Amino acid sequence: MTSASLTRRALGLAVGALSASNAASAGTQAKPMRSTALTAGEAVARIQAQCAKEGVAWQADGVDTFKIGDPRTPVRGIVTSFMGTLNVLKRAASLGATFVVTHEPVFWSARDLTDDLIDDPLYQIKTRFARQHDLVVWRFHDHWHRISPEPMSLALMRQLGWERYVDPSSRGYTRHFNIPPQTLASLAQDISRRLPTRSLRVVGDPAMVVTKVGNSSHSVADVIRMFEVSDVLISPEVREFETVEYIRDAAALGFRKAAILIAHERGEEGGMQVCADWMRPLFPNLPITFISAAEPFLTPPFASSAR
Amino acid sequence: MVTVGEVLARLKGSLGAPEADPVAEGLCAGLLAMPVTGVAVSFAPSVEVLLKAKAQGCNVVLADAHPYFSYDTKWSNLPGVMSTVTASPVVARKRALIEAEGMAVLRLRSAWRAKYPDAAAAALATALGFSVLPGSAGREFVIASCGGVVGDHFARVQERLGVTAPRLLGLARQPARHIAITTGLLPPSNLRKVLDDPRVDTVIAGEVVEWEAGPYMQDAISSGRRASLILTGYAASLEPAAAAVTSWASKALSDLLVVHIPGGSPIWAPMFGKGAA
Repeated sequence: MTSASLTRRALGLAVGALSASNAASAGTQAKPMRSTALTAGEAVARIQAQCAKEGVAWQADGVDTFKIGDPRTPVRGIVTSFMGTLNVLKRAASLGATFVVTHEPVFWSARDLTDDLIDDPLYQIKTRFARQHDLVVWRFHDHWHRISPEPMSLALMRQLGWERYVDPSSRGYTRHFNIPPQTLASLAQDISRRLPTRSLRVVGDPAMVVTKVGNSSHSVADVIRMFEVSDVLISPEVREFETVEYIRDAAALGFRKAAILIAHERGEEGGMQVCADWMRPLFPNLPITFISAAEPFLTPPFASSAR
Repeated sequence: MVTVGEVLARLKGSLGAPEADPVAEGLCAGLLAMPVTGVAVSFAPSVEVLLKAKAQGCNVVLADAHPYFSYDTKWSNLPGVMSTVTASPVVARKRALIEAEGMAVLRLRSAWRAKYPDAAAAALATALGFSVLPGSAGREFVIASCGGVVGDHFARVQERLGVTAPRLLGLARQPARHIAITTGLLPPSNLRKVLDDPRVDTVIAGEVVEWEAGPYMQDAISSGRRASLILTGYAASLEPAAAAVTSWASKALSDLLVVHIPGGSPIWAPMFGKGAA
């Protein structure tokens, strides 16, 4: 992949994309919008007001900001998705939607930093596509996780059919469950079928009998805290050099601990379907569509059989 | 009798630079004054590796990973991480084990990588049976020409590294002609450098952050780039580098026993690995 030869200034003028930090100021340089339709900025204000009604005060310094596009763009349809990939943007455009609500980043970093991406060909392609299709992309991560009941893990719990197993003392993303006794291998296969997932991986003794299952976040600190109440964790993305090594040693030292590693997308995508449903009463006259970002990975036997 | 401090000094002297992160690297467990019986090298100073090292007459382990899971200044320094890890029962029991066995753990990861930027990738390429094309010096990845389809190289990763659960992002049936190989956690900036070579149609790395290089690769594919990414797993990608470190350390410690103890990968896939048994 070769970089385009556009200069930084020329590219900035051509792309018209907005980073998280400069969305408002760059938006004022765009052509005036005279439509009386609901704008993306007004849509976000409506979402923020609903969050406030549900007890989630808006934190302006977080990651939930406009990433691409002019907030004054009229909203012709709304799409929710786990990740603002180029494929999701293409599918949103094919639906005629102009407002994309993504849970995870658009520009491949936690804060969607774009200063080092000006010459990146993929950044150019993505922002050019968005501009050509009047797309506005806005992130809904931190505040969505704070809605109660926590929607991402709620969706995962429903996908697993585990509502009846939830421990009444647990809440939020890190719910834990008391399931009927079964081996780790059996549990892993059951989860693999229920999600479904093609990239599930496991750390721990397959013959270990488990009853207490927790949902962990990505941090090894959270994993350690969840192990206080769980034998095995469902972990939608952890850092292998910390968490996997911790569990390897835990098992070797006699602790009965294990983890079922699933793709981040598998663990949280259902929550953005919940998000689409949550937004429908806020925008009764607009089409709202959930688009799957799709599980990115394959593990055997799928990959080998695909040869 | 050579002490741990003398071993550390000799290795540092051979690298010609101090460790980049004196908190998480250098002497991570044990005492500098301890006499050394032998040095074992592995990706991680796991409990299993520590016990194997002791059984083979080595009371020092030289590793890429930290014994107490403090890997780097980015992830391990996130709020609350180190305090929680340090207070965990696993760390307490492992610390007691290391003390009881009279062992020491050394890390020189940053300095070794700074001195030999492409060595870890080259070691992985060799372990996978690839011949590296010239031009990789100074980079964290190497390029090899290959044939067949991506799925063939996925199977190669499984067979040659002994891992049951690598992951594939892309198409197994896609032809593979040039493969870029790197180790550990692949950031988007390095993936971009790899994809800047228009010949590359397959990338092998250890792990990706799934909101960083993972979607970057998805976007590259969606933009029309015919490329796939094979993830070996973090530990599996770096165990061949431990073998390379063993050869390097043997020269500086020619009067000592220096052995490579592969730690293997603890990750398995339920339908293909141990769980299928």
